[in-house]
Amino acid sequence: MSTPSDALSDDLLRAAFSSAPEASDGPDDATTNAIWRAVRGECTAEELGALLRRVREEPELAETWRMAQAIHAEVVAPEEQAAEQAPPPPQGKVLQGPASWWRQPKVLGIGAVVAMAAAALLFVTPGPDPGGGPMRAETVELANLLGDAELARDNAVLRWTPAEQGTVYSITVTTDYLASVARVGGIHEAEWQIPAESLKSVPAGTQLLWSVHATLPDGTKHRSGTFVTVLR
Amino acid sequence: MTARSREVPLSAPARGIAPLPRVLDELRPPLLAAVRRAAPGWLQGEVDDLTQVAMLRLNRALEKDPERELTRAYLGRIAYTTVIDEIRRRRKEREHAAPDAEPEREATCAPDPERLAGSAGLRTDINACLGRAQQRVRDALTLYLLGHSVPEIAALLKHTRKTAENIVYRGLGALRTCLKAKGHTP
Repeated sequence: MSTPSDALSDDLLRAAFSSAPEASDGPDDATTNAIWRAVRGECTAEELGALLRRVREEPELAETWRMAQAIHAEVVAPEEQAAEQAPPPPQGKVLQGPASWWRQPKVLGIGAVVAMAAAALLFVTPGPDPGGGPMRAETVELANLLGDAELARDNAVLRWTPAEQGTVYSITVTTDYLASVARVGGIHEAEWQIPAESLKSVPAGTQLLWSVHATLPDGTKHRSGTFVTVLR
Repeated sequence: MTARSREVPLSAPARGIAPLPRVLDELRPPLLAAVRRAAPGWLQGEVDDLTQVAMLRLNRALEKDPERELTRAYLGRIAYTTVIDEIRRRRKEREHAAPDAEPEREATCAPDPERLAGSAGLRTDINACLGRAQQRVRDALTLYLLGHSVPEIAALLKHTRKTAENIVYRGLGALRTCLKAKGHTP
């Protein structure tokens, strides 16, 4: 968007805008994480606006953003662009459910972040398979009973709404960086405590992503959304 | 096993998605390009080392969880955080270095203080000029100055590509006019 003879070239403007002072420590982990999400289009408009405001005020954030953008463009985007350009599968074979709606972060905003995390969690770290049977997501609600409460490290009990008696649950827990924290199957209660050992290397303040798979006595399976709970 | 030789378990790619490299080392060229493009000027001489550190840490993360199915998004995120951490670490090292230690790169590519001062002043003036723009122009230009392309800006700000192009093109024109008025002339 600039001409070669233009002294205020795009490159110069970009370099000036995103050069951090050499002495700066850079943003904290939460901000670094937020920038990555923003670059990936996983923020709400409000979050994006707030981050951009901070970027204008704090040069070290601009530098981190530039890094995130560059790595996303070089490493991640080629795969996503290939997916976008792929011909859609035949209409009659589209499976409705989480796999179709998590792809629309622009519409869903913050919900999309959790939904995309859910998709990632399901794709990257599948939990133990308690048995065969069709997956049903529409009739049993597996809700997070923790609300906004933070998890104590020595008593990290996850709770969800129980399905009918005899249901067997499996649980998958990861960090928000999708590093596996714990997986377990064969749980008969609608709660499970993450072993303290599994949390040893997880820093305080980490957002834990967790989901529940339920197998009813008749063999049908249900899965929850992905819940986000902060580890204290 | 080193980062150069590690075999990455390959999950069945979805329709149309390029399969992930079988060897982790194949991620090195795009990562190196990304680091080269984004590393701060004072680290430009060390992008090879930075990339190698990121590759090693990526390899370590994969060894911790060898059953993990991989996506480029996951690898990209790990690479991003490791490079950021490495930059932080090197900044701290430089801060704590002996004051009389001669920086290795100083003779060849140390930043010119006048140019640095000019950049800092230019950034201040860019911000002042952006402050006068409408919100949507301000946000679009901020993204552009952060290195995003027009299609990326359109996607992030939920504009059509044409609208984003108009906003950025006109916005840059106004920004240059504003900067020239502040003394940033050829």
